[in-house]
Amino acid sequence: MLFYTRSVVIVSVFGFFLFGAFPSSVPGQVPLNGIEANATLPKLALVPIERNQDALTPFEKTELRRLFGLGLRELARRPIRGVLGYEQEYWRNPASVYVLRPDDVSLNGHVLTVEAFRGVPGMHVTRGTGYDDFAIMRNFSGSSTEKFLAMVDGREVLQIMGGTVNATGEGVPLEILDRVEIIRGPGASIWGTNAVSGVYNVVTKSAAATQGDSVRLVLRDDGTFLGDYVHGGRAGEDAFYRIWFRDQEYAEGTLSSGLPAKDDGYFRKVGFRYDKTLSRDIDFTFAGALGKRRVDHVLDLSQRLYYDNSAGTLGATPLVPIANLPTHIPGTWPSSRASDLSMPAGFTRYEYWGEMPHDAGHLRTKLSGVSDSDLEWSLAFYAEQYKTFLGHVGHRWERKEYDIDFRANTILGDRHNIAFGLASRHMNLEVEDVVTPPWNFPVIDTIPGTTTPSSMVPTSDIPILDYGENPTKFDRFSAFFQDSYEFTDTLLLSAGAKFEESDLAGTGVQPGARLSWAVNEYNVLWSAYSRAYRTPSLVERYTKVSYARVWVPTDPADPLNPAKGFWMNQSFAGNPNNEKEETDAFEIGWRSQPWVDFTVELSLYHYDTTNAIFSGPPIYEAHDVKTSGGEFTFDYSPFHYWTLKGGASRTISKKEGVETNNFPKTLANFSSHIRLRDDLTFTQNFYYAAERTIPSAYNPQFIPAHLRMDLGFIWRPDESLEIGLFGRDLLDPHHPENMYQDLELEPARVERSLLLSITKRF
Amino acid sequence: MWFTSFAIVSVCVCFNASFGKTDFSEDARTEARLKAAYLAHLLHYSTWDEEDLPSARSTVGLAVVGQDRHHFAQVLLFLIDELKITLQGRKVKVFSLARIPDADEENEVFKDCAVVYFLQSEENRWSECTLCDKKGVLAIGEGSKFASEGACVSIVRSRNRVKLLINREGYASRNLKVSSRLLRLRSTVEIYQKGS
Repeated sequence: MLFYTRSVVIVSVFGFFLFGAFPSSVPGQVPLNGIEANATLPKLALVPIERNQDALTPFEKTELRRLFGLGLRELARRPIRGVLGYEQEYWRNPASVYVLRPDDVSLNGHVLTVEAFRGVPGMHVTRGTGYDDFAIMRNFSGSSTEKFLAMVDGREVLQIMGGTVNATGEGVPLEILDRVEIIRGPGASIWGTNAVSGVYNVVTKSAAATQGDSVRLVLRDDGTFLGDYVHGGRAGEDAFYRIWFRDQEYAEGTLSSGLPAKDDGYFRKVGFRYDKTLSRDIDFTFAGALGKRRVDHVLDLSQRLYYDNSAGTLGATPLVPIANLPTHIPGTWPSSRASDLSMPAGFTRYEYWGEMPHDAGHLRTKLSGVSDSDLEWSLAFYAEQYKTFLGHVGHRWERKEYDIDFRANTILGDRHNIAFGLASRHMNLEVEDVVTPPWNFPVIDTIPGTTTPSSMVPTSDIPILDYGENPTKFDRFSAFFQDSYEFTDTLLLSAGAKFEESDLAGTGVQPGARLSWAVNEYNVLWSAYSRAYRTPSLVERYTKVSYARVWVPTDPADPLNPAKGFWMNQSFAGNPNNEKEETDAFEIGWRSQPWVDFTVELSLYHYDTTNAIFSGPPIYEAHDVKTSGGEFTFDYSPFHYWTLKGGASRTISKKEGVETNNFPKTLANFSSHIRLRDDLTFTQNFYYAAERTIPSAYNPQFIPAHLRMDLGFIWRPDESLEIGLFGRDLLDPHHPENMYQDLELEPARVERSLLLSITKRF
Repeated sequence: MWFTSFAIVSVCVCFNASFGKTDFSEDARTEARLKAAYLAHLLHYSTWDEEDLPSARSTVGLAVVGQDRHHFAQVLLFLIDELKITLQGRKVKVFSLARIPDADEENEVFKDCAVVYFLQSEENRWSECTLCDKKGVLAIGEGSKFASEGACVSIVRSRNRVKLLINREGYASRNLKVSSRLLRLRSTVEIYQKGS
């Protein structure tokens, strides 16, 4: 608490003394060269304008560069007075914002956009198996569950079943990526439920901006491959289209123990977009995509089934020796058996793996415009179908979802810009759980979270995940109102609330207020309060998880005799009463741009969360969590050929007053781009994550602190060709980062790799 | 504790900032930046006859005429300098002029200018300007009146946006060409029709 008290004092001192006490030149008061002089001249003559460095603030200069970089279409859509919080790159935006551009992916040797999140202070990006990238932001649970809202072109892509984002499945070709807006911290009053730790929104380019053809090929030394093809063309008067294809092939990786990770497979996706300007003030967009992924996933069985897990720690005694397993355990199901150093001597590792197919498609249509009464509006409709089967645990679901979203804003008088909107969602799921072969034998079931038998009649019909007869249809209705109020030229306030009525989260109001003060030409201070909700995933809420089976001997004198004992199921259940996690978030921030090529940002936050969900056993529990932290970000170009970017974050989280260790307390990143020649750039990237422990029901994993170094050269002989060669993770041959808690026994190796990327535009 | 701290800081920010500037010029400065970006693009989308321009190694003039309350000329100069914007390969030099000159002064004053940009303050005097007849001068003005009264382009504020109104006759009469790509941008550009 002392840390935060100090922080508040520091910011206050900044506000009152450092900036407020010294006279500052206010934008707009700088004398102009020439014009005033002209007024006194008897005869008119042109007066050459000389650069007055103080006429524009560094923030304005940066925005000018950005504005000129926009095409005329985008320029015509830029509002003169915007809604605070809509334009993320606006320097007075009272939020901790980071905007990723395609160059942040390609110049830093990343294959997918999600990997580039490693360069965002406050975000913790980890790799599990070859196709699993986990991104977490200011997190307080440390699990694979992402407690932030992820969107692609305004479409929510958070999977309600597991509460995760399939970052690979939602990926788009780099050529069509315009930017990713990452807003750290809750913004529920605009964005809505699940915008707790933050929001990221992937924004793709308009079809008009991707005319022609392009190919991007990325090849890693282990054989992993990604290929993108994008074609764009004209489809009539002021109408454009594009189609694209992606193929990603995964080579098999290795687990930390050296065993094969069985994570090879592929992901293929096709997408399209059609944009038409219907009239001067009405635009129409129709877009969609279809993706297919075929991979396997492994479920460790060693302690779930073959070895006693009652002690809760791998290798703890008493273990049930495999040689003496009861004979009624079938030996026919597919498994891998391998000697493993991570297992105690004389024991064998057992795994079961199954296919994890994933098929998903969506359609998006949007109509937007400005009415005669200056009301800027948009009406969007989204339809999505998502089918997957987690073959390793026998959990299949299909989700159909329909969303309609109306938003509008208008200027009211000299000082207000009001925004409001209505949205409705209908979701329908079909869930099927099957018993996978390793679990298909008679067992005594127990009351979830206990060892008390629920029936003494053995059954073979207990799947690992059991959704049961729980609800499968969910509706949500929401409305929001926000007013951006300009007190003065330097002081902006945004206040609003989102009202939501939902089958999952009940009825609630999520208010928020954000204040931005441009102290002088170089400094902006901001503060914010938000209340945000997160809807627990359907697994957390409704699903019974049978995570293990325990051999119970009935004759202590002969504990391994298969005739003198029985198998007992161990489970924990979702909690239907876990309606929503509620977070009160307080943020303060400072953004400074003393000159045009140097920007620093500092943001501090404190989250007070009630009913934060943590997985069992014995049950999915709700706890109070307090999280505090901050992020520091800088962007500096000491010379025109050298750019430095980086940042660091620090966070402390306490669950019921006890400090947690499931999220790295310190994260840092540093990136250097040196243009050696006009066509050749040398990049260096460093990423640091402090130690943490991956929580798990029976095998928590300690992940040591890790420093990663990537080096690369990018050759751009002209606008149409880019070739990059990168060495990634050069400081060590491999290290662990993440795994699915409660499912996997150990993380996969994130290995040193070489990467070749080629982009060609035709 | 945190709520208290947060409230204190917020109130302090409000209180301190209330001593700041109170005129609402931020919108106008934003508008000026958008207009300057448009103007920089227009140099690319317009074509001059080489005969109407000085030699290839020369500098061409761009005059900003009128009461420049929001640093439009400085904004434009920053764009041109930083982004090395040229006019058909020639460097562009930005000049200012407080008002539209009298008719007998015009040719002398604008003799080296290939672009003249009239600020809003000159909208009412524009009809007196004989610049309409000068070859090789891209005449652009703030407000719809300019295009409707002979200028090549009006940059207009409409519905909280900045858009272009293009007078093709204005281009033709000055021996200039406008890109068909620009004219096809219906969301950005309105073509001026006589009598409309």
